[in-house]
Amino acid sequence: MAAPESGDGNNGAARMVTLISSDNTRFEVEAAAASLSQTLQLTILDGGGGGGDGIPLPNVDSATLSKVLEYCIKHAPAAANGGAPNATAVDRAELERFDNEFVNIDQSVLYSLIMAAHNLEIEGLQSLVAKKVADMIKGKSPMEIRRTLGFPDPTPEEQAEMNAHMLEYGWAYE
Amino acid sequence: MDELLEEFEVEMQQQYMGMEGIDLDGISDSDDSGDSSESDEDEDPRPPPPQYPEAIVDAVLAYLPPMPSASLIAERPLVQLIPCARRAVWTALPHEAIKEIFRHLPISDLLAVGTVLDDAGWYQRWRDVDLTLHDRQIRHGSYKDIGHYIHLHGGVVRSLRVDKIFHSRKSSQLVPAATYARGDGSN
Repeated sequence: MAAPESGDGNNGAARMVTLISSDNTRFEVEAAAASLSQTLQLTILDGGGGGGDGIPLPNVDSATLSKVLEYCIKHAPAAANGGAPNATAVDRAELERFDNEFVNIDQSVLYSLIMAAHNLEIEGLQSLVAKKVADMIKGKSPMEIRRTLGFPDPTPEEQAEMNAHMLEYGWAYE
Repeated sequence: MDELLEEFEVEMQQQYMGMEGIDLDGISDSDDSGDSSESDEDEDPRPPPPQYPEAIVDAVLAYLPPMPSASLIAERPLVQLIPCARRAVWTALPHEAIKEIFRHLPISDLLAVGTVLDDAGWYQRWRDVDLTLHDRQIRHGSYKDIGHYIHLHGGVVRSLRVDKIFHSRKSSQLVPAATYARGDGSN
């Protein structure tokens, strides 16, 4: 449960803010959840995003923003507790399960999430999506990495360079 | 409401009459004696029902992420077309995002990834700033690995900062996390 905001006159009700995606879809979320974004935090602290106004996010489309907010809503209570010192093992396991499912997504969505997490400066999400990409790369050969990330196949010159590299530094891959 | 319905009926009748009056050159002459039942079917005066190509709807639905929590559902239309291109252009990732990805890779994978990502410009961009190795990377490597790694990519150790010390499982050897700065390559 998000902590009630003081100063807005709503007794016990969490303060809501409106975020506007690049395709003009409006999302109303608790300020506590939106404040996971370092980019938005100051604006929200200054009282922005409430009432009829919204905070425009020209770099984030609605599909991505909804996904980002899904993450923020789930992680806001733990963040409000200053990390998760008070969280039970069940809570932590639940968050972990959520995170695992959250990044089980298509590459294009993952890419959009990386960009959004970067733009909005959401530390936990940045780390989560980066870990997912790292997991996609981990333990793969250079050619497999190319295919995973959709890089074009190497030209003969690049291939020769890679072979030479492997000859010289092959020990490092063992 | 009744008036509206009446108007609609009148309009439909007019359309129907109008279609009957259409002069179908080259067809009407021969059709008079032909199979009229078939031509009646072809000339259904009712407007066709709206067609939503299933493939497009499916594609759009597949494209959208799963519906988020209840507070967001009201704000989102059921199906929407998003104009922007959503292709993963990994080479366009911002530098900070690349660094974050590398933080999660063990040393051995960094070496393997290097050759590939160099083509994409990732590696070079990463090398242009101070190189920070985190304990989670070092946990998978040894001092020898790290030394080779730094040397291999033209770096020299300028500074060493211990962020965290932990005991490895086997030898209880102290393994620090270290910060290196990229040097000029001259060892």
